[in-house]
Amino acid sequence: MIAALRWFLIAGVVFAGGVLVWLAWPATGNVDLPAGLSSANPGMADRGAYLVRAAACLPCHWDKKNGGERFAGGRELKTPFGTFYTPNITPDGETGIGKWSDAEFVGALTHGVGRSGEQLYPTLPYTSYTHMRIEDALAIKAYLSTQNAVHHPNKPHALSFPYSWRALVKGWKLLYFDTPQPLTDVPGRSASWNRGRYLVTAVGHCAECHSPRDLQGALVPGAWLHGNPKGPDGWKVPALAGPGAKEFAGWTNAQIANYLKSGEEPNFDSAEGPMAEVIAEGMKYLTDEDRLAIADYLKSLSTTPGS
Amino acid sequence: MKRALGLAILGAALITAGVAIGDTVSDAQKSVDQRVAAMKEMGGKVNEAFQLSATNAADARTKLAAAFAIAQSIPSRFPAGTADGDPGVTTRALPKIWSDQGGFQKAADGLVAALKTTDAKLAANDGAGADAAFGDVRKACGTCHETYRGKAK
Ligand code: HEC
Ligand code: HEC
Ligand code: HEC
Repeated sequence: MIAALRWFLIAGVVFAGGVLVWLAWPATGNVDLPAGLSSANPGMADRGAYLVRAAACLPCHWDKKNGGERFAGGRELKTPFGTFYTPNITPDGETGIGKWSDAEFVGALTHGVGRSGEQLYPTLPYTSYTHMRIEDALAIKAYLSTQNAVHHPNKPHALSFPYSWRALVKGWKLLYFDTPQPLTDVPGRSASWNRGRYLVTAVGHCAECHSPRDLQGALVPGAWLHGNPKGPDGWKVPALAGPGAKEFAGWTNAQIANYLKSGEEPNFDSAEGPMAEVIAEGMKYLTDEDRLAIADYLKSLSTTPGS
Repeated sequence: MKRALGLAILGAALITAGVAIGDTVSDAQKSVDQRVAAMKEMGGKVNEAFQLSATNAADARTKLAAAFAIAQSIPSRFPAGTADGDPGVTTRALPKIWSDQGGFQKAADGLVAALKTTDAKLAANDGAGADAAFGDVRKACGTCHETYRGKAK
């Protein structure tokens, strides 16, 4: 009996040790970029300027409230796991991402792996960006490299234990993060619907705010876009699909597109809080066509109560 | 016997008190729920008026009148004990409404004035003027919300 217990304990310690080594092991291998794709290709920066807005990178990577510089990070993001401070993503070589290779950038944005192979926290919403097309991710890098290089060292996150242990993210990913895969068009659906689906799912990362999360911070399965009573900064985020989207189901395509452009709700209220930022730094700059594509896609989701 | 009676009376008093407390709580919440519904109805009426304004100014003015009546009632819909942070209520109404009653009243007056202007433009069949006035109505809603309404919850 005692012997069995001892073996059990030893096995447990060995297993735990193995897990520790596995967790701490840096992520291997960079992303393989398809030949010919490069952020240096002509036209990439212009394309990236548009996508950076559609992806709303700026509201997170800009400490606007405290007079910070655009893309220089430092914005405080409060979460149940502690406070994150966003990093500098300007082309500064020392404190920004000026020295990053294309593959390293794509690795961060779509795989959640940092430059030295460390795990990145999913606060950078790579869980959505992972569905981005590689050429789009590279275009974003091209645009960022045209921005002012700002010397601004990153501030360390203030996370509570055990979340402060970065390596743990590897375990989280095992549970909640699929192999990165760019979204492909669904045949039989219109070009507008597919474009809307791509903008909502991959680039706009709408679900990161508009879906409920479990205690591990992962999206609750089967409740995609079903609203989040505890959204960022303590805001309640309304449902865009599912049983809670009764009011939203009454919005017309034109009303949705107009909201994304101006923040004007059909009932004469206006967008506030985190959504006002998504609009002001992002959706407002999209083409009417793209905003209508988003509406097209959102309206196709189930908004029937009880489904 | 006397003791049992005493206990029964005490128990009854406690239950009554409990019910009474329960009632006050739900009264405060009721008043919150009613004003949120009124806000939504007001916004709905303004929107209907806006949709109608291009084609039927008379009907648009009827809708606007309904919104106007609610707008005038706004200050009376915020009794003491219904602020965010008061016990037993879930509300977006910030305590500033009560600490700065003059400012809150002014914000409400601003909406009333904007609605009046809109109505005058509709009455004068001034389409462009009415469009601009509807824009000012939305701004008047926002001006109050920015200062006196908290996070969505
Ligand atoms: C919701 C907020 C948020 C959004 C939106 C966001 N990021 Fe981030 N980003 C973060 C946080 C937080 C980190 C730090 C993660 C960590 O430390 O593990 C980060 C890290 C990064 C990194 C790694 C930097 C480093 O020094 O390790 C890059 C690169 C990056 N983000 C680029 C982007 C780009 C490009 C976009 C838009 C396509 C974007 N981010 C959108 C929050 C955000
Ligand atoms: C950073 C978090 C965040 C992101 C990202 C985000 N939203 Fe929102 N959204 C919100 C919040 C918060 C509200 C509520 C705003 C308010 O109360 O005024 C909202 C409201 C809305 C509404 C109004 C719905 C209603 O019933 O009132 C729509 C439509 C909407 N968002 C669409 C989108 C789309 C489309 C995307 C992706 C392109 C998106 N949102 C991304 C946080 C977010
Ligand atoms: C004088 C201030 C004031 C004015 C003017 C005002 N509101 Fe409000 N409104 C509030 C406050 C305060 C709340 C929060 C009520 C609560 O939660 O108890 C609110 C709540 C709302 C809500 C409910 C939001 C939710 O969380 O469900 C809507 C919708 C709304 N207002 C629309 C409007 C519209 C449309 C206008 C203009 C036509 C307007 N309001 C004008 C103060 C104002």
